[in-house]
Amino acid sequence: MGNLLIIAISAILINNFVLSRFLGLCPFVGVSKKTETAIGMGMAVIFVMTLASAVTWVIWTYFLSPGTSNIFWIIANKFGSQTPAASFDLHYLETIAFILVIASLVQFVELVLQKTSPSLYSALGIFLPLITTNCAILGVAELNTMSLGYNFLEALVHGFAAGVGFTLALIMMSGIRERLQFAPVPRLMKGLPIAFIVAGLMSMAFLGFSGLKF
Amino acid sequence: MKIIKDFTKGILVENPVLVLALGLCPTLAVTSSAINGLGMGCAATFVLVMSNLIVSLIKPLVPSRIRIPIFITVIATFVTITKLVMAAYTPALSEALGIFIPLIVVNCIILGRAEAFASKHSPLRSLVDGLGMGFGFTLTLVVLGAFRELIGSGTIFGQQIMGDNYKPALLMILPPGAFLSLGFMVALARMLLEKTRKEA
Amino acid sequence: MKSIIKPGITLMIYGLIAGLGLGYINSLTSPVIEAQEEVARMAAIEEVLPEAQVFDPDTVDSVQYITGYADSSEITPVGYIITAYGNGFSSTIKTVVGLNPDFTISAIEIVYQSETPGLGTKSVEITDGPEPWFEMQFDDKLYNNLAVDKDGGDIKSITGATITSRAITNSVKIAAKELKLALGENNDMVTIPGGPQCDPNNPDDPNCHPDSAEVEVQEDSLTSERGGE
Repeated sequence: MGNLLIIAISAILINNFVLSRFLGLCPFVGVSKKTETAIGMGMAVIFVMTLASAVTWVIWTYFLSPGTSNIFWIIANKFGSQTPAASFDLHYLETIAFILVIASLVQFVELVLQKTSPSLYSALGIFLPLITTNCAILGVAELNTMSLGYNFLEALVHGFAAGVGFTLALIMMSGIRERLQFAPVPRLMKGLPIAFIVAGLMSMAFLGFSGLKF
Repeated sequence: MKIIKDFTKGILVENPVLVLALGLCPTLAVTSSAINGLGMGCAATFVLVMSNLIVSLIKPLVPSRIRIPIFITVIATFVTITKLVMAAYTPALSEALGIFIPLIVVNCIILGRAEAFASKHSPLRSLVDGLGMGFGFTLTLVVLGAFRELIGSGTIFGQQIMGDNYKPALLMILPPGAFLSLGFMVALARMLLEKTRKEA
Repeated sequence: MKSIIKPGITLMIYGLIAGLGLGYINSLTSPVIEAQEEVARMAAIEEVLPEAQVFDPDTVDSVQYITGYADSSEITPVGYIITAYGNGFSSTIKTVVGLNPDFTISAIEIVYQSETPGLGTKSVEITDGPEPWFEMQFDDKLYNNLAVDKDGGDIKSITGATITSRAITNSVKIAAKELKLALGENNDMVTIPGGPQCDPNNPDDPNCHPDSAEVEVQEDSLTSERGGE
């Protein structure tokens, strides 16, 4: 239990996916102009990230990675002689499999949003299908399975917390940018450059979370 | 000459990172050193060129409704090829770039160009467009990487440039340094763009 | 329904072509990758236990290890070799560890890491000396006193890469501990966690207490990878 809490706090504050791991930057810069849109986008991302973490973990563990939990190996073993555990190593299909899973999940979320909240659907506009290309989602799926080898519960918590961290950074950024529109920003810095400077300052502030203990 | 414009627009006028604001994640993540920026730029350019070419070639065979998943499949295939080949033949660079190699598949530049250009133009022009965008991307990464590496570690491409008394500003290779450097680079690019427009 | 089936099948065909193509490329590259890993592993084994010429792999209680002998006639080992795995910031770090017969560390060599370039990757950076300074810190240390400076130990962590440093240190400690338990030698005196260093060779040292079967490792992973000094 403590371990899960550590994973969660770490992903939200200390190793924030946007400000520390550099994942999820395109929507971070693109959607953060208005707070309402930011909140809507954040919720959608949390949902997709959690679900994607779960589904990709299952696909990785039971279909792609070599070993005794691989479904193909289990089937082959039932039909006769001892097949070595490493024979069904499909790990190289991971990128294709994961990204198609994510694309389908986003499509699913789009359909659901269209029916339940048409106003949010139109407010998010083009950015909703663009969640597919949000590197934070594929990134967390990769970290959970290939890089850090989490178990199912750890992967789920990590995905959820990463989404929360992304949303936190996004909402903070949108609050600042809304005010920035009325500030005397030098002409060349307006828009994208000043957004990056703000992100840099936020990232510095988040560095202060290192050494957090409880 | 349309073809030449297809190539050169990727350098400044339609620079994918500084003007179109695409491909930001790898730009900030791998530019802590110039060599990593170069490596990522080359890998992404390979994927971009190949996927632009294939998308343009198969466009009559792609039903419009499912074109995005098909483009994604094509891109993911070339990303996986890149990942496997790099792991086999350039293991040090592969370890340094880490998860950002498979993340090339969600680099918005590649899907963006496939959708906006390659699916509507000839294979030759798509190839050149890919080369131009890829070159602009790589150039941006190398310049940003060299800048951050110089101030943050005192070296460029691993060669010691600053004297022994130089105390490296660690912040430059940490995330805040990345954001700040990119912010100023975008402003600089705008300045250059305005100058070229005034002279035109 | 029909409007889903036809595009679905088209997509599956594309997927199949892609999958087959990748399977082919994988069959070409995976032998190269495996050969590389084997070369790195053999090189690391020779590095961490240089006096050993004969290697005898074994598994006890699901702990895999290699016993090193000076030559094939010897009965007493010159040391053991184990592989430690630690959860780093963005990768599982793989370290080959050479242990002397008294379970002090002969040397370690990190054979795989994909940590943050410029920060975690400093763990394998050579500045002066034959080996990376981070790895050389482990030489001749007793396995159960290992901890990073932030956890009260004397392994200096890498600036801005606390998670990486801690993952390597703790994984080496745990792996050595597992081997010791598997080999049945577990009558150590160890440092009370958080207290001053224990001298295991001194039977009257008040800082020592008998080792327990559980590995007590400071699970304080609430630290930023980028946390300054």
